[in-house]
Amino acid sequence: MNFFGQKEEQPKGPDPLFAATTEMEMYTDLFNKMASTCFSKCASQKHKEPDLALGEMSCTDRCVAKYLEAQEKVGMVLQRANEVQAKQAQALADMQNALGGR
Amino acid sequence: MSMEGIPNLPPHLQGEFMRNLENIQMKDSLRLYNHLVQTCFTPCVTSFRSKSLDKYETSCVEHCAERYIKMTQRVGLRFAESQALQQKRAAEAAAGGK
Repeated sequence: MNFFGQKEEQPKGPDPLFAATTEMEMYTDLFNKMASTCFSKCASQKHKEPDLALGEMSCTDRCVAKYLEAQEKVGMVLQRANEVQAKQAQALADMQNALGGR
Repeated sequence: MSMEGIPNLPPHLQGEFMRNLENIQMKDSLRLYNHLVQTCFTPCVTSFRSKSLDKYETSCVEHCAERYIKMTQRVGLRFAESQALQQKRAAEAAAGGK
């Protein structure tokens, strides 16, 4: 999985060690946020028992599945936005080149 | 926490990557500790008539921490399953394309 949750492509520009380390940090951050979010959404805040109830465990499973799906969808939106921006930047550069070439 | 989605690094960088990984894990343990304290303090401790925790607050905080750890473990399990399934599908797609 690359940064936006899509299939892994060959790393191009950035230093591969930095990319690998950053990817690791991304996974760590994702995991922490997911655990924290699902805890606040699924676990009762009374904390009477030290164990999770059956309902809380099912909720956790579904929460993880939905969170990862949401991550994928957000990734696609960001990817599309990036592509649009790249096209616009290219169009601007082309226009400036055309003007500069007079 | 071990992850499988690590990009293919050349061997001479793998040692350094493992050291970076250890650093990340150490920072994460410390971060988890502080986060857990705040997460459990907030719902469990609501009155400030005394300077020390009463027995209900103590058991609430302890239970909360245990539940959080258990939930983290379950999240990790489901996450790993999801990753494995995704990799399996990717491998099948790649094999099917030949």
